[in-house]
Amino acid sequence: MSAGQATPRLSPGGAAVIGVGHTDWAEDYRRTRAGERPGTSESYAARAFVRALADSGIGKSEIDGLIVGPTTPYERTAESLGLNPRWGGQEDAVGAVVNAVMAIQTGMAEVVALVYGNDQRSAKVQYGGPQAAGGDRYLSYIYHAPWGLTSQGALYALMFQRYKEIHGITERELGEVAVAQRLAASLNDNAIMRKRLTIEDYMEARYICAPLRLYDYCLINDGGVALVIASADRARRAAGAAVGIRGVGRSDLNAGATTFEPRLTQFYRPAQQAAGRASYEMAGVGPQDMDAVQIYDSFSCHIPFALEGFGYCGEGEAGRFMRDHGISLERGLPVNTAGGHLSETYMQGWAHQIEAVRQVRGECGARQVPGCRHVQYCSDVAGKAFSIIYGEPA
Amino acid sequence: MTPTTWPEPFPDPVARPADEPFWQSVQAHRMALQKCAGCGHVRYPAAAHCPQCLSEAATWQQIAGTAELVSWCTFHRQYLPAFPPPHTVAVGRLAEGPLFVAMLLDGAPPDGAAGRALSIDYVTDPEGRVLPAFRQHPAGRDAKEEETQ
Repeated sequence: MSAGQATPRLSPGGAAVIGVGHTDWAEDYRRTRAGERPGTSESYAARAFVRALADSGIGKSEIDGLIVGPTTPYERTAESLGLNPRWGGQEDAVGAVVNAVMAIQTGMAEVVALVYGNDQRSAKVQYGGPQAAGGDRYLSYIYHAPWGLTSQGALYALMFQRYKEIHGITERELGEVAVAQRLAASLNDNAIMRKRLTIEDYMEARYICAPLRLYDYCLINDGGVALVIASADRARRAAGAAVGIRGVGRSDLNAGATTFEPRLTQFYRPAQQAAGRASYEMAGVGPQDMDAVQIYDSFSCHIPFALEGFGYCGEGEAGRFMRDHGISLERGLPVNTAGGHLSETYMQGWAHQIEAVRQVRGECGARQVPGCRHVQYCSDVAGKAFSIIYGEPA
Repeated sequence: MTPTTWPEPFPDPVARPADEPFWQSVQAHRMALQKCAGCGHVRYPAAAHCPQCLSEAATWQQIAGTAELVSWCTFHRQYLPAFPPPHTVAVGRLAEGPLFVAMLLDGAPPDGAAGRALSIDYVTDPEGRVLPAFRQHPAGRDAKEEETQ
């Protein structure tokens, strides 16, 4: 394992988010449920981009870098937005933010647009079963189907069962995640699932793939998200409220991924620790300085794993931490303050970035974390651990 | 010993040329894994080269057929026609080293079962296709004898 040797080299004060935008998830969810198709992946991306641009106060002609999410082709998306950047690429949410920072740091671009659109609900994208998506990147998503192991949820069910075996967390303790995030969503006008949940509601819900229940699973919905990230110099001249990207970190665990070695024997902890450490050193802050945390939550159990891996509690302590300390807007450490993938919208990590930005801006209304200065985003999707520290611009 | 059968056809495996010897060994009830001729690392799934030393030289070695239970999950929703719920899939650490995923033929174990001994059995679908599967307890004397061969 090479994890743990990361040396931060970027000067992260050099980039800031100057604009964010998104589509109307709740309204589009109602429409897709009624059989309508309110957009395509490309049109959702474009709508979000228009709003992010307006939020930034800059003109489209100033965009000289473009990163497109994994669900629309780079070239077609660039064409549809009429953009001729001097630098570009395709990445998932967190990779896009980190790459934008690197492009700006190296002078490859000064103002980078990040655009994502996904019509996964109306296009009936399958994350399990005979047509399961993603197998070209992660063999584990499709390789074990002859034995009946399919769906990402099952991979997290295996991971959570293993964690239960080692650390004795209870399913009731895991229920704190769904309850806390639903509380946040109940305070968010644009969240899809807003009806408050109790632990009893959680426990009474059916298993999908035991030990995970209905409320442990993310939503599947259509939508788009966009951000505009600029150099610190350019950000200072922008009209909108800039939020600094103060630290970034990444570390991967790929060896043995198809048979779940790093997932089941390490819970991706070494990668999380290395990514977290790199971002903390770069930003000059630590977990104790975070006012809120946004955690990639395709499934609820991402939260206890991340709380341990990124240093919010000790190894094996996440169940007690969630139960006794709390992870909600009402108690303890606010996690996924917009409702996350479980209750707000499943934008594959993109909406978490703009929620982090808005919390630091202080514009989150009923769900605003008071005096919010630093927000961490962390993820560990299939062994790629990332951390980003958002804060006041340097 | 009567062969274990499955009522519905199994889903097709991912079509990868590297896996062909594996599937042939399974069909013959002699599941084998690749062993690197360079460094001795036993790997699964099969691949053209060793992920540790990158050597392309490898042999196929029949497994002992024993494993230790690492984790499991139970499907309560049906995703695939062959597996009506509840369907339990386990991850076991084979005696040869790799983790291996397969259905658990005797149902969901209770919490705390990690570490239990598993054995590999072979299950045949209506089309004659064979899959290796886990059992929590050796199915009697025959299975014991197979294990020690």
